[in-house]
Amino acid sequence: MGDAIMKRISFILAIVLLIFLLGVALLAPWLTLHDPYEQNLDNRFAKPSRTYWFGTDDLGRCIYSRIILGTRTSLFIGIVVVSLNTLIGTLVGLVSGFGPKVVDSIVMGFIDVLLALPGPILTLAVAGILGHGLLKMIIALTFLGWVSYARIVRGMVLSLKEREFVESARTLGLGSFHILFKHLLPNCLGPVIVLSSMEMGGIIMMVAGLSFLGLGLQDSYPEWGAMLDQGKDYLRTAPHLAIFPGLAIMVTVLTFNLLGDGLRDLLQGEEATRLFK
Amino acid sequence: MSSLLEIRNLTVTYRFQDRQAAAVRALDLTIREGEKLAIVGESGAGKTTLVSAIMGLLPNSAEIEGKIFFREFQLNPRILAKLRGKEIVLIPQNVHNSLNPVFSVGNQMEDLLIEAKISPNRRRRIILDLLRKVRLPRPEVIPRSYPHQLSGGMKQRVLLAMGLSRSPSLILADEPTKGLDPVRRVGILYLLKQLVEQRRQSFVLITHDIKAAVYLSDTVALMYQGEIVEVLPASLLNTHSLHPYTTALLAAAPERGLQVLRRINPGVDSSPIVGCSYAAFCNLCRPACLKQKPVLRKVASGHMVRCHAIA
Amino acid sequence: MLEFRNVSKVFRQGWLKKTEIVAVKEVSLLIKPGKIFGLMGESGSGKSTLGKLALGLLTPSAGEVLWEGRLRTNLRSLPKEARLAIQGISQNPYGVFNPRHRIGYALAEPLIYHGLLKNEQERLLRIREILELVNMEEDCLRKYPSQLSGGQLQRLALARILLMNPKLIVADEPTTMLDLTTQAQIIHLLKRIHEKKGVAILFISHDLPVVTALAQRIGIMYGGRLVEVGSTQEILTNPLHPYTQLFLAAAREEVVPELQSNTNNSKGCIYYGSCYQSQELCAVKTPELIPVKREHLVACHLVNAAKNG
Repeated sequence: MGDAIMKRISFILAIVLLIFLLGVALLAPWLTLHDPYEQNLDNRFAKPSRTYWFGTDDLGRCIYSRIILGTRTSLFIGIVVVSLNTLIGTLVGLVSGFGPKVVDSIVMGFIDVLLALPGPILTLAVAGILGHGLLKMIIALTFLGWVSYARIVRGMVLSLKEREFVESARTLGLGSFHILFKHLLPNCLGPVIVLSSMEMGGIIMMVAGLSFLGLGLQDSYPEWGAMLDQGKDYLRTAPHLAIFPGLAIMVTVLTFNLLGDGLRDLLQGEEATRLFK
Repeated sequence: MSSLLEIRNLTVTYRFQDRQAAAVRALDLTIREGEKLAIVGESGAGKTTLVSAIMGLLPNSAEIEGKIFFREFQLNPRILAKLRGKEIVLIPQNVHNSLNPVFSVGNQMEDLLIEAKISPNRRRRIILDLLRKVRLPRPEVIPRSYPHQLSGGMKQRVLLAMGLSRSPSLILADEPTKGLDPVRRVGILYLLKQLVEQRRQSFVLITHDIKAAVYLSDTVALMYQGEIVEVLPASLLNTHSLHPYTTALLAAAPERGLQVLRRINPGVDSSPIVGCSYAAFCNLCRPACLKQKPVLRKVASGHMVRCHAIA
Repeated sequence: MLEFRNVSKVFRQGWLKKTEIVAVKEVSLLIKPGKIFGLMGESGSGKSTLGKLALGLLTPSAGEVLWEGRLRTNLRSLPKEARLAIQGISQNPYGVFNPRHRIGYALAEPLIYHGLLKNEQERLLRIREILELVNMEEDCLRKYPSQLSGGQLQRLALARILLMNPKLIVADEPTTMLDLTTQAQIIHLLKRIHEKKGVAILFISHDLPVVTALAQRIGIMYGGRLVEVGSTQEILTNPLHPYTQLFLAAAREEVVPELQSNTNNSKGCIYYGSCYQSQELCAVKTPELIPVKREHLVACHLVNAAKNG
């Protein structure tokens, strides 16, 4: 029973944090203390105080305000990338699993090749080649991101399509598209949703990582990874430059991981509830 | 005959989140040495749960109340671990998933004998002997074979051979004839009869195949909704059964015209918590049946019934 | 009516070795409209495969499956009525319905999809009608499959296909997973449906008493081949093929057969390895299914010889 309580607590915590993060992202402009871009060169590396809650960075900018604005960025990119990955991956998975064997072989061959390449490095390379910019970063992250979804969905479709209710649907004359979207897809959603929420954390980390390495968005953009990059040089003297963005990344990724865990238990629990009469 | 297995007031409840279901309720059962018992019931009766409880193979979510004694030992996980496969053996229902697909049959059978510290040569002889005993065609080839190379019928016999390999005192056979075509069914029934008669082992058959129950056992216990509702000698089952559920069960057999005797009694919830669990379908249901749960009462020598109308 | 013309179905497995499993071999069979045909045999005899071929879920490797003269192969090219004329229920009632959909949706879905009964009121009326036929209460419509028992689900499975007004129902071991009492209910229901709607039924099972209670004609399959066909009465009183005799005797618990080892006899009679009365000819030449009496066909060299000699 203790196990169940722990799970419940972490799930509720995840939901609360998620609402909090979404709230911050939505209300960002109103939550900032100062202009996140405003440089205040007389007041660089200021320690956290009443005026500058998280202190200032190497250009005198308010770290707190940058973190707040950064929430928007991270969540926005995360949601967009994950949505695109889910969409593309699910479609590919459905077609590959349900369609003729030839199609499946081709798609899986393609995926196997993609997976053989070193993922994060390739993403870095693509980001590097494309250059700075929001759209380009999204492309770089979607490039390989959809693959895990495709595999999961394909696997589920393959096993589901042999089930009796699919056979029944066929004899009742229901067409392939109908079966695919009305019968198979809903049964695949569970794992897909869980994967999405867990991948959010990963994507946000990648974004931070890319910015940290100088790729991705432009330099002055208040993005957590970029802030970490800036802060790393001053860890001895002014650690607060790195600590706060680091904490922000950690909390956000943790939220999505817990969310993913909770959703998985919830959705699996749902299945179990249905079976238990 | 002394008592081999004694089950006292066994209740098994499955809990899931906020819901629960009692699969076995306050069950008392005694199996003597050398006794051949059949437990007959339909799905949901609790037979599988009962067998799992005896074997100590219930899932963690199951709550067990009551006691089970094997000879003089009260069963607990530690003791059961020592008895399983040696003194108490289960021939499982699911023939296809019960053998490890990556090991040869001989390998798996040897595993059971290695533990008994039997020399390799003797092991091989014992295995061949067992395979012959279960009347497998070409027994020399079987040990080298892998499970997927064997048909369902053959796998069933291999499992039977494995069960017999340590000369257990108690054999539990879980639905050995389920889903079998007539030819295979007769084959396994005859084999079981031969094997069981030869030895002084106690044999418990769990089935919904009434004819098999009568053929293989001395005593038949009928289960309904987690309780034993009637116990009687196998020879009397077809002619002298008394409990309304037993009567309904017998009537439903195709040979008897597939009669559906169960009726839905007005005003009775399908699973009443108070009173007799069969009240909802019983043709002998009377007011007392809704208020008080009947107890198992002796009506004749070796014959007990749980019914207000009968006893 | 349903016709199998020399139908064979071969399953191929594996990449390099390509093992072949011949599930159905050269089966020719006629199922007349409005009649109940019982197809019996052990597991692996090919009876379920034959059922799936009839439904169009599988296409024959050789031969043709025809419904009222039309091929059952390319279902999409058939007019809707012909396509939906054959429906099936299967062994596992728990798997027939999508666990995520309510029963009400599942029953209405094919009607909506095919544009039959576009009016919601009409649909509901028809569904109510069919529910009454299968003895189910209307409140099941709101439930999910997981909330219902095997017997109820099997009845709803029947309801769903009856909404399509089929002319032939392929029932593949529909009672194997059900309790005795539930089994009795389902058999009675099938009988009722047959009588009321004049639907033909291909009843696949190895349960002799159940088949004889329902079917007017019986066919026995062994190793993918049809070995004997005849009226129920005829088969029960005068079984001619050795396997049929064994099957019936085993069902009556009169004989104890030994377990057969897997024989893959490509030439000759499929029953050669296990037959008690085989001759040299049986090992070499496959016997054909030939009428021995009117409407009683057997595939056995010795039986044919006796008839001629």
